[in-house]
Amino acid sequence: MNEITIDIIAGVIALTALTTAGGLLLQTLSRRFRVDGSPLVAQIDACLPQTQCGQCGHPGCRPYAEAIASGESINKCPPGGRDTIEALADLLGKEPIPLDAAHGITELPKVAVIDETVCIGCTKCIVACPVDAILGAAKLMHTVIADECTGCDLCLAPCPVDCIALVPRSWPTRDIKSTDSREVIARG
Amino acid sequence: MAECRIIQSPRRLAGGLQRADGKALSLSQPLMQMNPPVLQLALPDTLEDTPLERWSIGDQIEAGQPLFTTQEGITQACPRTATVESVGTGKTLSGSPTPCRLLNLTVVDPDPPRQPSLTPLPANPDGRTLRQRAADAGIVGLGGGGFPAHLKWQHRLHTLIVNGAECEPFLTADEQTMRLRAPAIWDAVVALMSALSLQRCVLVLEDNKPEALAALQAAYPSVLDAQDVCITVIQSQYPSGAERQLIWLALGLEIATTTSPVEHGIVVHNPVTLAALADALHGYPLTDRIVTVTGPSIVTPGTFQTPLGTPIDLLLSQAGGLRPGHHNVFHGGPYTGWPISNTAAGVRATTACLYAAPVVSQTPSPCIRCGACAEVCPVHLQPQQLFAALTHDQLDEALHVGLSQCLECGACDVVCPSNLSLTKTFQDGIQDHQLQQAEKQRADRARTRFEARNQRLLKRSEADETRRAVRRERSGSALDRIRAARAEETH
Amino acid sequence: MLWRIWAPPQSTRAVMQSVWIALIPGTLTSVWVFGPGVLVHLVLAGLGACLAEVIGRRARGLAATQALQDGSTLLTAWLLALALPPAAPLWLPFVAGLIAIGLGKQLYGGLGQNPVNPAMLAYAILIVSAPVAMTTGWIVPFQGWSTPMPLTGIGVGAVDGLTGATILDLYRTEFRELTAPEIAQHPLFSVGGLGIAPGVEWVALSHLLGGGFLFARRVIRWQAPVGFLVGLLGLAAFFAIDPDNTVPVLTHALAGATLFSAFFIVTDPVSGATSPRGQWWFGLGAGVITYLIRTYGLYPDGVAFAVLFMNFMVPLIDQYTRPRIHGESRSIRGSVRGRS
Repeated sequence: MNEITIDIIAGVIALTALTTAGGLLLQTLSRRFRVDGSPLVAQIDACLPQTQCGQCGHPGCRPYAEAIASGESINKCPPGGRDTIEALADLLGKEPIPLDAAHGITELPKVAVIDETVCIGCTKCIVACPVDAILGAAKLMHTVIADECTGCDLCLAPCPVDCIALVPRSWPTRDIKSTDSREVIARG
Repeated sequence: MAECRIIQSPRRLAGGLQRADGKALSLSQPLMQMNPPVLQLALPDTLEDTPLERWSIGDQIEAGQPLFTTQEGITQACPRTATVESVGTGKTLSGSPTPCRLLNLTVVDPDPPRQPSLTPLPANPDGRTLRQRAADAGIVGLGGGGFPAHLKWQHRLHTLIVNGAECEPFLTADEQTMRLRAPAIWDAVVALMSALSLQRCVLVLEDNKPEALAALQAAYPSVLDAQDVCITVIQSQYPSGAERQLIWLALGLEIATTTSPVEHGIVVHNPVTLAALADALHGYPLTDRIVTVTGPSIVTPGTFQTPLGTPIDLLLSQAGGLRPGHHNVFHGGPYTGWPISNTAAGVRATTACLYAAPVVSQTPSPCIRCGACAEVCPVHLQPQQLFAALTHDQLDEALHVGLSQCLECGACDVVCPSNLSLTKTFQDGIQDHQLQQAEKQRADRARTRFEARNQRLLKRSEADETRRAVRRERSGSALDRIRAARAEETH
Repeated sequence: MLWRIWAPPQSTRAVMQSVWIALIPGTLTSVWVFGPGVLVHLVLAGLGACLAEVIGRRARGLAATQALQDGSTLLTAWLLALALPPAAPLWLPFVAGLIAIGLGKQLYGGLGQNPVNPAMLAYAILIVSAPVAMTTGWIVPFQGWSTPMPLTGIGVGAVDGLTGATILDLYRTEFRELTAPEIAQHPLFSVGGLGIAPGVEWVALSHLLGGGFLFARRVIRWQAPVGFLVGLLGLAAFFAIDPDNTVPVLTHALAGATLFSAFFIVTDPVSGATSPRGQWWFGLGAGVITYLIRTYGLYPDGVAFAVLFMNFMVPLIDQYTRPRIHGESRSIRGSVRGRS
């Protein structure tokens, strides 16, 4: 065995030992300082607007979150719009992309209203509502709990008498408190 | 003759502004009584019942008769004997997009003799009685906060601070009240100290109010001699009257940002509130308040004893009206005020001041990070960092560096050499944060309901499945029997 | 009215103008000591800076006319003109102005957005890319009025003997063979002045006057200048235990760009730290690094590199020197971005 071979073997052994030691160190450190983050699906779900409207092609927000976690595109949520896409891009380290218009366009938040004079009490909308926001019983008039309605429009299609309409939700607006940014108070 | 201890506060605000206070403008006139022929009262949005159905046009409401009770238990009394002219919705003071419900009244006797509409309380009422009376008489924070007084008294308290600082330039309602109604203020202090068994009371004044100090000293009741009561004089500096700043100046205590002063046993009241409380003890509910009408655009600035609901227009014209030209009228003072867009609306309990000034337009230039804003910030924020974060849509970052601690006092706006509207940016940021929180809560609720429904559907479909399986078994055996029978027939 | 001059400025423009006023004594002394070249440089640097400002604003789709109103562009040019060697070729100040505003300011989005001091950026870029023009253009003090202005870099050689090194250069090169007291016998020290840093000391003291004005007008705080001087002179004083092999403290204080930088460079609000405590650390860091570069570095005066280095530290300094918010138990440190 000549010197070069010995050198090579010594080098291999030394490097192996070094990398093993390094690996073990990293392993221990990562165990000791592990950050208990919430699972990815829950984090994605938190970015979604929870309208449960199914416009993305999934039966609700959670299923879409699961789909995103396994690689689906992040631009399929019209109610969330740009804000949701940006939040998802931030979370997943992706580039924000424009909303996929095939799934719809972003509109102002809405709420369903039942025309109670037309309603026949068929309960079909109650079954369709993903968040149980419609109250009523068979042959009795139904009504929407406006505070819980997400404006998903899933109740519209099943209604046999077309008595449900979506109206703009009273969106909390900024209180007009201070002047136009150009105008200032003359403080005497 | 009793003497009240007077202490000079050794502390002063780090930051804040020292500017000409402009108070002499409205103090040169004596207090005037307003007797408006009409009143317009805005009804709170949160009102549970619909009081609009309670009255019809032409109904007469007696002075002092309860009009409505808010969710917090505050009962508003009718300021004057009046007939209902109209009920409906209309524009608010600020011109906010959501209309408010209004009650328009025509006053029957503009200048009636005052009669107590509640039974006068005996001397030294207990805490419960006092709380009930404050609620029934509609006593809210008259410094501008409007917080129901009786709710503050639910906590275990040991110190009462009377906030006579009135640090904002041009405002004189507190000073005028302390000058003219010092005995009533002390009456309320005596009642509060015994009812809530408080250990001490500190009345805080800025050093630019020697006349108020003299009046308070002269009216000091000997009853309080045995108690730990003092008047603390602080340096005139805006915004020394902000609650946490005032507590620090008066007691040297810093209230943690996550808690409120009442949780530490400290309650702060405005002298105007205390004077109103003294009236309530004698049976008079809150129907009037003192309003300063001032500013460079007002012809004859002054202070006015004003029934709630008095149209702003009327009050302005009583003060000589506005000078010719283009002016803005602000609800509140020159620093914390906001523009009134509907001057036909009525005076509220929180209307301490109407400030009118010519419209000024300034062109902002970029922030050069000079730090002048940080020097005057009374809470030691770094407004330039907040501003940079908010203009780059980084609300999280702004909140992290203390956006929610902003007092919105406007001191930074005044010193900014770039004429940036810092306070407005911060107000918008705080409101955006509140909106985001509201939307997040909504989404969380929807998620919970969605998941609960999915659970329910899953359970139901499982139950259906078992039932079907059982049925299939049964019907299956029946089918077998038929098949067996048929097989027998064919054989 | 006289009192207006002493009241704190109420607009960005007024802030910049007070710095202009503060620069006047130093500029006049420079002209006296180094000749009219300083004024020529001032004009050329101003032209370059304004050109870059106008082009930059046009490119960003903004009105070019507003560009010069706030006075910050001319201020940058002015600072540059005072920092450059007075007999440098004429293209130098023009290019410096272009670089300072074009690369140092407009590229980042104009006033208030630049992370580094534009004048120092231009100075650093030029000393790296045109070292000859940047270091040999110094005139022997008080001979400026008889020194012809070189149009190109070639001209420098023609007037050799009259132009040359600064005092700090002299120490740097002569330390190989001589001790400090021996170097102080050099004929350059006898041209006039206090014999500490001939000629330059008058300029430095004039800047002290200007700095005092800025302080009185509350345009600058004391923290950054004092931090800078403590960092630089503190180290110089400490190492002065070996007087033979170190530059004397007074020379450190009055030669080179020490006082000029202390009052006009490290006090730049846009690229500096914002809180008083942060400004102290910013100044101190810049002072220490300046001393290190002067003593151990390649360049005779290291203020530009020191300031640039500290400019990049500003976000960190700002984060760790935030004052404690009233009612918070301790100051908020670090950033929440990416963790929320």
